[in-house]
Amino acid sequence: MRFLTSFRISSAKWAAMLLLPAVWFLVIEWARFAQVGFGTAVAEAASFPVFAIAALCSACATWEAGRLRRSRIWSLAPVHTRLRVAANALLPVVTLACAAIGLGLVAGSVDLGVLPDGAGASSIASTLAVVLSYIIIGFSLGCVVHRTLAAPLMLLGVYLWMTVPASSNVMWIRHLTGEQITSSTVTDSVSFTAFIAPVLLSGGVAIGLALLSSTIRPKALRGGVAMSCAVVGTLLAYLMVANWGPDAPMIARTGATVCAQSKPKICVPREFEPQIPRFHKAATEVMLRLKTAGLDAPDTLALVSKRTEVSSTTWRFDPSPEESNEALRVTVALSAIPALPDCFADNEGYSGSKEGIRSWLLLTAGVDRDTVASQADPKQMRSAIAALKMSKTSQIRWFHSTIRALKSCSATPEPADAAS
Amino acid sequence: MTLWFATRRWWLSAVGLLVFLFAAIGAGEHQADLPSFTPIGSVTVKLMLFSPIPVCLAILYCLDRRLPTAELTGIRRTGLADQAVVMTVGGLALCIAVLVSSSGHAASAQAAGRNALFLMGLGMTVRAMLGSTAAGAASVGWLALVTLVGYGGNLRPYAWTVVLRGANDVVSGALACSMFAVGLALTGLRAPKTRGLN
Repeated sequence: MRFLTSFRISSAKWAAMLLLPAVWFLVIEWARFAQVGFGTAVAEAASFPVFAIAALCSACATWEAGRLRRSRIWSLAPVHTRLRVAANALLPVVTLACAAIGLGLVAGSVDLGVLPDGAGASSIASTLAVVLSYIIIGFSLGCVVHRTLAAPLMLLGVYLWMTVPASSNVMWIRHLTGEQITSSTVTDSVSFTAFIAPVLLSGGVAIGLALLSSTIRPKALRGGVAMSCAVVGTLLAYLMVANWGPDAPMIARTGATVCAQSKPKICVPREFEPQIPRFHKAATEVMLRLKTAGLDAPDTLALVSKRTEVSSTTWRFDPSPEESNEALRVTVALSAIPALPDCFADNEGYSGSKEGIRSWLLLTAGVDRDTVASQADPKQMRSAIAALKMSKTSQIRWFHSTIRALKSCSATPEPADAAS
Repeated sequence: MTLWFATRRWWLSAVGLLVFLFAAIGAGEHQADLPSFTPIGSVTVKLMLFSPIPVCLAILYCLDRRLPTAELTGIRRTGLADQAVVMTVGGLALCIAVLVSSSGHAASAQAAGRNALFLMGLGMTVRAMLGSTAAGAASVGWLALVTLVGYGGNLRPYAWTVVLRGANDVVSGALACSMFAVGLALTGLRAPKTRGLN
């Protein structure tokens, strides 16, 4: 049957009217929280509506299977192979799924102002594989269950399966649905295994169901092979994610850092490259003040993954292109505080705090006192003001001894104690 | 009427009611965060919302089991009998909801009873216009649709969603009863459309 004829009589035609606008708006909705100009986010935004695409397309596949079942196609004298008959019925549904993902990419590109990059390919490939798997599962269900029940059950089942586990307390199940709950950032990428696990689960089940309709003889062997595929896929997927926490594992993004300027050198992901002059201007102003106060200024300010080692003369900072110049000065000043362990995780009664040196750094960097006071605890603010009245040497000694205390999860000193 | 009862497989609607009962008890007050067009991009929904689907699908399935020729030429008024059974199932769904709610398993179960009436009414109305498969998809699709676009900026559900409103909301109760009445009337008046969405 010609494609247009298949599409005209397919349920995909009706589903398209609902799905395509929904995909557009869902992608735009997701992109609100994404970094503008970040190509990987475009692909991840296009993958976000997978719950809607998989649910509607699998329900359509169930519908088409029900139509073939009602027409008793499978018991008629064969003119084409079973596979070709099924493929002919499913082609409009698969086309709709591809069109929905393609439309998602267009919507993401328009909203984030950039084309998808190569790093997002695994996200899109995973989404496509998951959707195709659910189309096969839906078609298989429609072949055996009455379509009045099968199509709505598939629609609801896939929708709930892909949305509810994201807020479940069972961590491993979150990573198997096909809905990508962890997003890449400009410094870290989602591990490739996060895209493989849901495909293993849904793909294993889909291949198993497809094998059940094959002509492998004897039937027991067919059932055994089909069951093995489903069980092996499910087990592999489970073992892959069994120890994961609420988020999928991340890896440091490589080959995307751009460095420019000097004293200090500014290193940022390439998406932030146009902002380097602004970052450098803020950094120069703040570093001059910190240097005057007695701190050793770094050679480099770097926005890189926490998983990436940096030299002792490099400070990590975390600027955003949307930040105002005032907020940028705050970001640069706070980069003087190195990465610290989470002392509260091991000891809920831990009494140390970095708020004192935080306020001191901001005041030293020239941030407005009222602004600092509005963000700080009054007691810590008093400590910072008391520290500013001491000699430069005493202030620096207090700063470094506080950092040492925070690193070793011991009590942080008062300015007067550290100075003596 | 034995042939009518056997053809419709009405016992499946009893299974649907049982599944509804266990789903309502199992769902309890459990909640999940679902994607939604709200300022925060998601909304917290009680899983109880989805519990009426088994009874709704069971009714649609039973109504779809027909012997068109015999029913058109027979003297038995099967349409009236269908309406009587559907009303009974709707009443039993309400009783189950009240039972679950009053037994302390879930206070929100009362809303599930109202939602069962609304979804059954919606399903029967769509069935009369577009056929049975579309009817089931419409009932389920309504739940997915309202979770996506049924909340305002202040995260309060709109009145038109019906199923998202509280158990004591009078307007939603009236809308659900009206929808059930319309569906019931259409079920007795006309055979489902078989062309178009088949």
